[in-house]
Amino acid sequence: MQMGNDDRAVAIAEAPQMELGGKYLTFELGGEVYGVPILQVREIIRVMDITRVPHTLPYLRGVFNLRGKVIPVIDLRLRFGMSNSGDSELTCVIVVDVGAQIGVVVDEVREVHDIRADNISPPPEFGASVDTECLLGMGKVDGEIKILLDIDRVLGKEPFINAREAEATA
Amino acid sequence: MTDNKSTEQSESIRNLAKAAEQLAADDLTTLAQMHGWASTLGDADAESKAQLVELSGALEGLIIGTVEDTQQALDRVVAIIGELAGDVDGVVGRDAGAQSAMEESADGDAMELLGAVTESDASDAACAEDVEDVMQAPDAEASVDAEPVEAAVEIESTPDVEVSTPQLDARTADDDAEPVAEVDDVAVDESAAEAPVLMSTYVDPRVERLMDAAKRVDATDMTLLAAMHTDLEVFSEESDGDTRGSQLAELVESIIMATVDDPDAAIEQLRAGIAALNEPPGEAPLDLGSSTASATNDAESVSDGDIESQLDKVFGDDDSPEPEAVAEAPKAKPAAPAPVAASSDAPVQASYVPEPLLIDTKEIEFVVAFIEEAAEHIENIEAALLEVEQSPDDSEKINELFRPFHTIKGMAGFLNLRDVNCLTHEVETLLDQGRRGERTITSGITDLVFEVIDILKAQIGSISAYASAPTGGAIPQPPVAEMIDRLRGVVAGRINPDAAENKSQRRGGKASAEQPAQPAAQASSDASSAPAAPQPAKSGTSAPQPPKAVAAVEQSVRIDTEKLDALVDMVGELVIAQTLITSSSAISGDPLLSKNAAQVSKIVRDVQEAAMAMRMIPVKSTFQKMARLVRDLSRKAGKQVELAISGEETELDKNVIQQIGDPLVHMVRNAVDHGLEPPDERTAAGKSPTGHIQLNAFHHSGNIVIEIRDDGRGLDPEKLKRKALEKGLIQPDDELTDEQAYQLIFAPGFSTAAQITDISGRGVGMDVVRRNIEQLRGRVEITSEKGRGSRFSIQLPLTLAIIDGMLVRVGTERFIIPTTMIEQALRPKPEQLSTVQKRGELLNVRGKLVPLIQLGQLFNFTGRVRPSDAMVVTAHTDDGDIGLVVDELVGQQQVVIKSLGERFQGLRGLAGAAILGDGRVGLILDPSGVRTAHGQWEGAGIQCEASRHASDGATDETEWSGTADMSMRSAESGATATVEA
Repeated sequence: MQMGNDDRAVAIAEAPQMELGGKYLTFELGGEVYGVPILQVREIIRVMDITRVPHTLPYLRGVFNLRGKVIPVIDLRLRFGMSNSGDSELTCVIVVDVGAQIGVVVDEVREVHDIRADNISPPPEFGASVDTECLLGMGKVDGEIKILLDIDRVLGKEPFINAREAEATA
Repeated sequence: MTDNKSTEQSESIRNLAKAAEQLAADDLTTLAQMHGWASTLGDADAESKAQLVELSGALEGLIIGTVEDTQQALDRVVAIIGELAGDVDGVVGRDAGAQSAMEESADGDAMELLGAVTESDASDAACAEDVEDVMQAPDAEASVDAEPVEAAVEIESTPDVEVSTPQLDARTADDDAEPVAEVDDVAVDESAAEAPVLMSTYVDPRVERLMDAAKRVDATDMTLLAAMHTDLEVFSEESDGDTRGSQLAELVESIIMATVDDPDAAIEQLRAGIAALNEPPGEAPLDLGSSTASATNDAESVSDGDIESQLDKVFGDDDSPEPEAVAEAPKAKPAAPAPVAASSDAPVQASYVPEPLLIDTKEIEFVVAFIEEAAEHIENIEAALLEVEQSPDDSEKINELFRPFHTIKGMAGFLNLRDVNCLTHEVETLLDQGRRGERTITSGITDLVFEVIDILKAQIGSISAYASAPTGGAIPQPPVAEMIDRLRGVVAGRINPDAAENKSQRRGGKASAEQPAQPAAQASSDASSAPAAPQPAKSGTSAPQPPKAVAAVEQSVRIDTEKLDALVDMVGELVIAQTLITSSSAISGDPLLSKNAAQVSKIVRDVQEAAMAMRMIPVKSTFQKMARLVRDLSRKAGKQVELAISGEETELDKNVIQQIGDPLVHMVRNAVDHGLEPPDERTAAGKSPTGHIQLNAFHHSGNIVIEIRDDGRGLDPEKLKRKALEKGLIQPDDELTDEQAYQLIFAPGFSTAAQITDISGRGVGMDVVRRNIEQLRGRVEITSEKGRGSRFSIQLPLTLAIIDGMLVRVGTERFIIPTTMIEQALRPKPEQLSTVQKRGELLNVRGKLVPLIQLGQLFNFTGRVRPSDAMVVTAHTDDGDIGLVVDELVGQQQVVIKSLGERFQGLRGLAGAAILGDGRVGLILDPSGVRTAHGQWEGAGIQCEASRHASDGATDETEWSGTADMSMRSAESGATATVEA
């Protein structure tokens, strides 16, 4: 993620924002447009047969076969607490690399935008109702807002095992 | 460093630069000239010298034609010259055009030009003749002849000239001063023990480069070898009285000329030698200067002998009473007291003073590689030693024993592992005496060497512990020093190994009493055929294998298992994709296409097989360990045992082999300790006093079977039952078949040994054995005949990566149940079913009540189904059988097991995933896990109901946080309930 424009990068007040400029793959999710850093995107595939894994978190759709590798798939709608209205023709799986490869189900893949750092503003405060931890910032492209995701934080590192079992074992 | 000289030098460099512009690999005249110029530059400062040395090396490689990638070498030459020229006057004589011209002519014919060169002029002709010699007669003499020419040129050169290099730095001063200091050190420092391993803080840059090169070099890397050669030459010139440089240079030469039998061993030698260069020469400096020439001639005369003896000659000192020992000295850490101190004022050898382990953190990865390799060599050593024990006069076998020790020594020297280096060195000295017929390899010696192996293993274990945690706690120190002193005593003839062995009583009091009896016993066993042994078992404790096979050099490449797994993954996908294609209707309609497709499928299958086979290694090394074990155990137990091994070439998955070792040790121990009777008892029973144990491995219906047979007393089912009754393992009215009685020995806490020995009989073991084998998805069968012996047969899957599975459908999902776990599959009749409290269902299978687990319900996929409408698969678990209720049996399939990844760790009931024939992922069930999960689920179910209501209100809350705490999880589980509801 290189800075888009060195001269004007100073305009961004916060230091962590400095490296945000770069290419983002944008996609639609529940009518909102999100973006993930393109460097973390491995590939985009159509929704394949996904095998459900019992006793896992609800937003884990299951696992699927990505050329011989078994890869977990996250339903991002469920992850963000939206309702899932079922897959459409446009529903896609974006395979991202967060240390391991994980598939992310999204409504529709849009395009790749080069968003300059000075077009990215820090995530707004929503109080307790929205956790902004996993947002990189809000990108503006042609007046449209893209919610830029810190996909590492979105997918976390914890096991996908359902908490109920954790409780039962405890 | 006069102006005059530096002018001369600048001119040489300019000449070089000019020549480089038109340089081509086949232009030997120019190359020879350039080599001359490069040599005249001679002794410059450190920076230029490094370049010059490399330049000379590269040029030499080009001239001799030993360079694999001529273009690369040429480029390098040009680049170096460019740098040199740039240093001198800023004129870089190099342009792109010249380079491309050079590229075009690089692949010309060297021999053709050689003729022309010979006619050109006198000095060139001399050079060319040498080159021709080298090319046509690649033996030691030719290369020796070539030397004087180069040497002469170098002598002409002006050592004090200094090139004005911008890179010149403070190190130059050191560089000039230190070699002298180093030599002084040698002269002054006579106290052996004081020299610490890491004494020299100064590292000669050339030596540093050599060491670096030594790490990378192999016998085929001619460019690097040539560079090393040049470095060594310069080194030897610089350090008067230290002939190690020239000796090593000769060694390199012989590697380049391929006059060594075992290039790899030679490389090891070279590494050890170079590692030793960094320290001052041995306490008793070896004055080999005068003998070098004759040594070289010797080397030539033995050029078809083995590398050790050649090196012995090369390194040897004519006056030395113990040529071998002295010969080794420069390679061993010189800081160590020379094993056979050549200095006459050492009256008795000083005891070996052990040193704390010091491993350079930068070398950890080499050390780790060393540990791995050493383990392999030790295996070879044990195998070879067992053979030597059988035929102590066979010098070829002693040679086989010698080699791995030698390799370990070389590697240890290179890594500064002084204890290992010294220990192996002493063994080598001892073995060398045997090899040359100066000493008979008695049983005392083999015992001693076995002890050395144990110490070596322990020491390497310590090194391994140290390498993994250099700052960690106390590292156990095996008695290396004692052993080294003992070995030295034996070598010097001060200690009689056979007597010493008896005195030390290391192998128990019986050993000495047994030994004389053994040959007679063996003879008698040969005469009277062993009654219960169906196969001839007369080859003694070693494998009935052609002796050569043990020493056969295995050509192998170490591959990261991740890469292998990736390959297997991709091949699996290939198979699936290929199936999709061949099953398509378009193909079946076209005869030509379908024929080609069939061909492709065949190839794909072969590829798959090949990919899977890469994980397989022969069971040989494990069996060899057993041979050693039997040998030791039989002595300890005072029994005479012959072990026959067959099928050791049978291949098994590496993981299986790693995990089968322990169970096998237990079972072999049991066979020796419990199975076989003491000799007198055997004689009384009319058997030969020597017991026989057979270890076989073979393929049987898709499995590997490892079989341990003994011709001992056999298992007594009645005795087993009595014992089990005593221990409360069975009830008095239990009816057990003999087979079931045999299986009792696997029960925890069961032991029939009347006495507990330190070998076995504590009742731990067999239950662990069975568990280990079951973890490998294998099973143990026992057959036995009272008085005649027993047979334990372990059936193992070929690989852990593939399992036979039963594909079952639960709702829309499919699961795989490992076939080895399955007892039976049935559609239950209503009268077989009963319930407890309307919840727990039980299935009556031939009088056995099996609890049913509704998989669909357990996994929240479907509701409860009526078992009488479904299929039940009964499976073994650790806590008894369970019945898994599934919707349908889809079929049997072999699948490749894949891990679900770490984020699924802790998931109960699932053993992993597999790619099914249609490319979908199927989950592999773990019946034991299902059982525990089921138990927990039943318990947690009620709580869950409660929490579901309690947390309903929280479901609207969005959960963004990646750092989930418990409260968030419970909220999420609330969300789960809602979504699922």
